[in-house]
Amino acid sequence: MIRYIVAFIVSALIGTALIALYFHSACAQKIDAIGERLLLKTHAFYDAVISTHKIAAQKDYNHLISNPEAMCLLQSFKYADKEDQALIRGELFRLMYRQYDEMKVLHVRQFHLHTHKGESLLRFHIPYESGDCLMELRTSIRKANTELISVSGFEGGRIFPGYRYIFPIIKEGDHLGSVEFSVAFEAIEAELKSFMPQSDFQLIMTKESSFDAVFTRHQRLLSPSLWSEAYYVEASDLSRVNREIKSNSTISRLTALAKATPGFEKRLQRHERFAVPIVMDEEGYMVLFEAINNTDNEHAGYMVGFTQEPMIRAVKREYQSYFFATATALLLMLLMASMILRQYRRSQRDQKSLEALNVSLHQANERLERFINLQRSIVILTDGKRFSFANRSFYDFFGYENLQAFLEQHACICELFVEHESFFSLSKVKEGEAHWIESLLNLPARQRIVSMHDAQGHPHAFAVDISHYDETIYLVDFADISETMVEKLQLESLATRDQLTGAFNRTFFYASIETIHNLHQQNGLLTCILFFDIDHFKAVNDTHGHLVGDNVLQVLAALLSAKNRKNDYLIRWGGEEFLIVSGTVSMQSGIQKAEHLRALVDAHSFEIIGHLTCSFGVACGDAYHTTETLIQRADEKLYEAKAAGRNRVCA
Amino acid sequence: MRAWLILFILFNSALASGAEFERPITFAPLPMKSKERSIEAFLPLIDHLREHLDVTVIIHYKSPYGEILEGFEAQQIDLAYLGPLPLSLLKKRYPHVVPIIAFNQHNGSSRYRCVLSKFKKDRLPTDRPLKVALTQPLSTCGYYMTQRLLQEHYGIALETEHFDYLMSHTNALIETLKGNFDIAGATEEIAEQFHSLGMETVAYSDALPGFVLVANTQTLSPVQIEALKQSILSIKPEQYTTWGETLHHGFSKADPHEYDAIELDVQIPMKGRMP
Repeated sequence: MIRYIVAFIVSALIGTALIALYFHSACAQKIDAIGERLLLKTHAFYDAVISTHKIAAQKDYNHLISNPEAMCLLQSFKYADKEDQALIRGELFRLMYRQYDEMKVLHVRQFHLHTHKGESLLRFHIPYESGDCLMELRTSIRKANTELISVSGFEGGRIFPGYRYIFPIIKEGDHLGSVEFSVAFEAIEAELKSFMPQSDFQLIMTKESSFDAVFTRHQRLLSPSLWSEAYYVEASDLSRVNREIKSNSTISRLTALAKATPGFEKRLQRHERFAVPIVMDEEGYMVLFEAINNTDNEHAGYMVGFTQEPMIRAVKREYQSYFFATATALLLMLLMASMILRQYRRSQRDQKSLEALNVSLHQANERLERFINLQRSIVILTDGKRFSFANRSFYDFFGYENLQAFLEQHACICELFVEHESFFSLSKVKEGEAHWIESLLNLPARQRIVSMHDAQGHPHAFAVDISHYDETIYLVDFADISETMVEKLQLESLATRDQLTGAFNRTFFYASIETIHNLHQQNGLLTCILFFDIDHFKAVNDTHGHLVGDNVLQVLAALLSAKNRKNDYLIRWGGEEFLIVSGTVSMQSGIQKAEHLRALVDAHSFEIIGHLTCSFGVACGDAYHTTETLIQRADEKLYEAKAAGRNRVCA
Repeated sequence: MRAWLILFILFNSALASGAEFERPITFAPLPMKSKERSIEAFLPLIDHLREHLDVTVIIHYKSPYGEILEGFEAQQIDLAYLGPLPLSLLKKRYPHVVPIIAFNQHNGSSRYRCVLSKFKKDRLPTDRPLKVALTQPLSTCGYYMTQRLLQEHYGIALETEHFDYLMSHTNALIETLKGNFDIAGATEEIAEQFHSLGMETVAYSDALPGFVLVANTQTLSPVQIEALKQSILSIKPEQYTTWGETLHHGFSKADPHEYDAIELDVQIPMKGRMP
């Protein structure tokens, strides 16, 4: 059992893990697709905003170079001494500050003129800070003033990092320097939010493009981001965007959760755009990382977008439902499989046990058969109607080869019971008794005696012992008690028979007459007493002696017994007096019987003496007549027959 | 000797425990430049105090000087960066203020000068009223010193001319550079930064007691004030020289009596006078 439980648990765990893995992977793929779509969308908006500023910068540049006064001042600056340069710088500021004010409305943060040597000429946002060389620090300025090409893109700077648009200033072939328009991330963020109002954006910059690039005194305006020590953000004291981000608890939690996702650091270090899906407070969010390259086409940071995306939650729920449904189905299948397997194993085991049991049962049966066969008794197994087994003694007794041979001749052993008053036979099965076994069981044990003839035709008496083999089968043991029975019968005979003639004696009569009388009544018969004696028997004794007389008595008794019916009883009443107790339907039948017997004797020729006759007195009665009455009346009629001349019947 | 040692340890323990800042303290910088630049200027000092005293300093930026003084009186501000005039005005209204640290100028002294500055190519008008760019009404180099300098150097009475308050020294100078004003009043140090733009300083005041960090004795304990003072004075030159222009000349102990010399005898109009 434990093995099955362990196997089930292990299979369930492995199966569930595989399903979970599959659905997790499928779900992740779908969510990744959502992330990719959002990344593309954000990228498109981001590109649109950057491009719009580029167009605006181009317009501002065109405005500058088409201003002859400004171009003239710039040319003068190139060739002026330091004192005059200060004055020209002031004049340039005075000339163009209104243009800068207009630019500021369009989110331009820096309007910066550079000398042809790449030094700061005039920062309109901090006009009193100038003269520092930017050529080495800023690739864009170096390219604009050496290669004389316009450059745009994200770049660090002395004051702050931003989106730069730099154009070389050339007047009639004279390279006068360059002009830069910078847009702060705040502007980009504000415009992106107009496209994606449900999103928040943050700029995180590499240390190289931010902290390492600005003036030392401005480094305090930058601080490490929450994402990584390698990325900086503008201090929230000065940056509106970062102030809002810092005070937004949802973004703070999203940041912590996104950072905690597996492989986040590695993804951040790939410098490619990616998305991190988050489910927080039952809401789906996507944290988007749009990689930003600087003007050297090197990684400069990420624009991080925080956007609510209900699809993530929906997809996760969808796959969770799939997972639970599939896992449940799997568990049920495994449970069923394990139950079937267990049942199969159990049935196999049961089969083996059954086989073993059958073998042992068969062996037991064989042993039992051997044992039964060893019995001298006849032993059979039967349900009362059919029998399924008989021992060797059975076949020896009846002279059959096997049970089949017996069954071809007989349906039941009970058919072979000899009908006799002293033995049980089928005729004694009473109404309401299912079969002979039940009938035998209803008898007292001492009366369970049957008689059967052996193969040689000799009668045998058997004491029957019945025991339950199982619920329906009986084990019937026929113990041969023939010898004991003979002795019994002999004893019985001594007690109830006349020793000379073999007829019943008075002892038998008085012991049995009531029973016989009752039996006749039950069968609707009259009990008839046929009282008779031998006429002139004294003369026989006197003439021929007692031996002849005894012989006459014996022959007479045998003659009459032979003609008696089954239930007729010949009784020697005393001397030459006999009576026959017979059940008849009427007095007339009794008279006819008496007449028949008289005629039989009259017709018989006895040895030595020859002819002999008998006189009969007949009395019949029913329940209203006592035995004594019948005897007396029969005796009276015998007297009448004697008186009437003998050899006749009076009734 | 042993008894003295025990007393010394107990005193220092008491000082250390009393100097604990159980709540963030508020600091109001003077709006001499733009808000960003004014805040930025003090960030290094705030970082130092946080690291050194484990105290969080919250910047309580107030653009008009008057609001800083009101915040002090309302005990919403614990520390402020003030010039001599705002300090004297505050002390007059609210005696629970004490200057603790003076901020040195480029010459190593905390004292500074107010100046008048104009664009080199511009000439002061004679055919119309002068247009004067001022910082704030309560700024030392605002109306208070500008009217003196104009009177002393040009014999011009400011109260009869046109003037406007532009909220910071930088704004006053930039607006003059733009040509919107004829002349500006500012501190010498800030005005000098505009020399690279063709601005020139045309008048200097006498040296004035310097800008100071003042403490609110109603909100800070003497031990806390002392701890702040000692912490700032302990800053090494190699550290503060890397900081911005406001801080990179270092610090000195403020002399409270120096500011008694500021005469509050001028009626300062709270609003500009422009056509």
